[in-house]
Amino acid sequence: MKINFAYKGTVLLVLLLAALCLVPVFTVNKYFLHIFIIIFISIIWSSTYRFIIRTGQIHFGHVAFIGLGAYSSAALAITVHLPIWLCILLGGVTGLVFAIMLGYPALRVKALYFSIITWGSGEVLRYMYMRLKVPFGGTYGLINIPQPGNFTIPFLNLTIDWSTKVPYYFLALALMLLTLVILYRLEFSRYGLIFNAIREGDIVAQSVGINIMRYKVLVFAICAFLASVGGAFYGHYATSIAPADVTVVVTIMLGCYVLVGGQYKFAGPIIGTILMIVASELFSGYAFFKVMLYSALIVFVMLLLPEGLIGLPKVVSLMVERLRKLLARGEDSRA
Amino acid sequence: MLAGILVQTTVNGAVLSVNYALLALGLTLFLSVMNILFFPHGSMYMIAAFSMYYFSVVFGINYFLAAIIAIAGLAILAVLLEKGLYRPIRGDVNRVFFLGVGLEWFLESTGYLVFGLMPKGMPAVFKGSINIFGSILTWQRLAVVLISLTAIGLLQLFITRTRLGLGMRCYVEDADAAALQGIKGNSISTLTFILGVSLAALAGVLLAPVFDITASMGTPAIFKGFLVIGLGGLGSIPGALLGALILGFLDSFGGTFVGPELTGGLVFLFIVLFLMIRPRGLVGVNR
Repeated sequence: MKINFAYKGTVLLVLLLAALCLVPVFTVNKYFLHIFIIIFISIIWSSTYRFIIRTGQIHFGHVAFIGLGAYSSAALAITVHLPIWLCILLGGVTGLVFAIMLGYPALRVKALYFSIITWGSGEVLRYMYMRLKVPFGGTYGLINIPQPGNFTIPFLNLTIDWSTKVPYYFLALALMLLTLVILYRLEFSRYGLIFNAIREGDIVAQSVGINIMRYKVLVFAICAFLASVGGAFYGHYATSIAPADVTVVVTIMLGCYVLVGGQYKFAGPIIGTILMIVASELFSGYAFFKVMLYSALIVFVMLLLPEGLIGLPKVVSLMVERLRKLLARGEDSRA
Repeated sequence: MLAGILVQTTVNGAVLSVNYALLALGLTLFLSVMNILFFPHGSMYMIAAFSMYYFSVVFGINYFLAAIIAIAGLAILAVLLEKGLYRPIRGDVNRVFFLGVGLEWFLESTGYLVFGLMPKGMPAVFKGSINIFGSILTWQRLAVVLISLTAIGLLQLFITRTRLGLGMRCYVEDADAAALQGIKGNSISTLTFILGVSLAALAGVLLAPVFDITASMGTPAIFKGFLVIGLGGLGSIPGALLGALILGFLDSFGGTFVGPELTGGLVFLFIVLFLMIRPRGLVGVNR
């Protein structure tokens, strides 16, 4: 049988997706499903984070979008009793509006000052959640965020039971795939070229007629919307959210995922997120050593792999090449 | 009574300000000379404070001798960090930052492992206090402010009046042109690491008798330092000092009269709005 290798990547992707869809068939272990769900949601966040960094903005307020999505959706569901699906969507819209309002003044500012503005806006929101007891629950945050109600799909006789993690698993998978498809289409389109141009030199980009503010805000808004939807989903999944969950440390963690995976490739944040979350779960038995091993991993990758883990094959093949040359030279001198 | 509270709050604000200023000066050196967001700065501060505790309380060495040992030890550590970790990846801003994040977390968790979870305290070195308007001011706090201001003044003189400082400023202007004049980039990099880390170590050494010493003291301090250089403006010593003064007094007065939680939010709001209106800080250089 002959296989056309031009479609190898597509075939692999389909197989991987099929395997992911089959995971809940083989295991309904809540712990494993939880890890999978967390990985899916984190991939949404780290991919959108990478997309903003990709346009050359050193952005430190990603957690502001995530927190805003989670908080606004939860507050709407608790105080106004809107349907949960509408709440999640409105959470995303809140993030979008916030990103546009922040983006127009902040994206004019360069480098470190932009980082400080985005970080500071996240902190302002966090203090607002802490301060406002009525919709946001104050320092202890919101608990008992409603989960979707059980329902039965007619004709199939299939009951969706939200107390198991299986529906969340599929929902998170679908959200992640949707996000990745949107980002992929954006990255490899004409817009992606414009974003590259803005990263490489925004003044040059402006001089060839690109309205750089519009595209910067566009990236900011799209990524904020997707990240906020992820955050809103996370809020309803975890059923609680507190101001301590939305500190700048989350943003820095996402940055670590992106940089460890590889910031130059689309698959970088995906690989980085999977590796880092799995690593942190594997290390979690050792109280102090956990953070030490974890941070040693970050230092190691930063130091030795310039393109992150996705560049590992390249680094290895370079080393093998060098080794072979060395050996060959040794043979020559002996002969 | 009100006058007493005012005096007390002012002195507390001054202590906080010099703390922020020392940390922010190191950071602004790293940022403007090497273009490095030096995240492990906070754990350098933490290590300095802990070594002061161990040297002078546990081993009983004289405070000043212990201070010199601590600062010299951290300067050596800085040279090792520069040569081993930072030099190979110099110039890649994102990687350098996240290398720093990894280092900071590593050192912090090592700190927890080695020094334990309980906060440590140190007795005051400059004993006694004076009484102004019914408020009690310890000499320790006043001495901290004076020594820090002297150190900041000396740093300013070093940068503006010596050949080495001139070399650093040349390197900032144009690294290649500086190299043509015989200024070695590697030496400047080492010098920056030594100076910056010594400033963090000085902050740790001076404030060890004033604040609680815990393994987690570094990361919040570093975030404050970033705020200060954002407010004051990159690459200027007066800017960092001014930013530190504003933030220190805002924190001190706000914490006393408004409450720490609201102050935190308002300070961030103020800085965000300020930087949107004036996007290079108070006295920052436009680059």
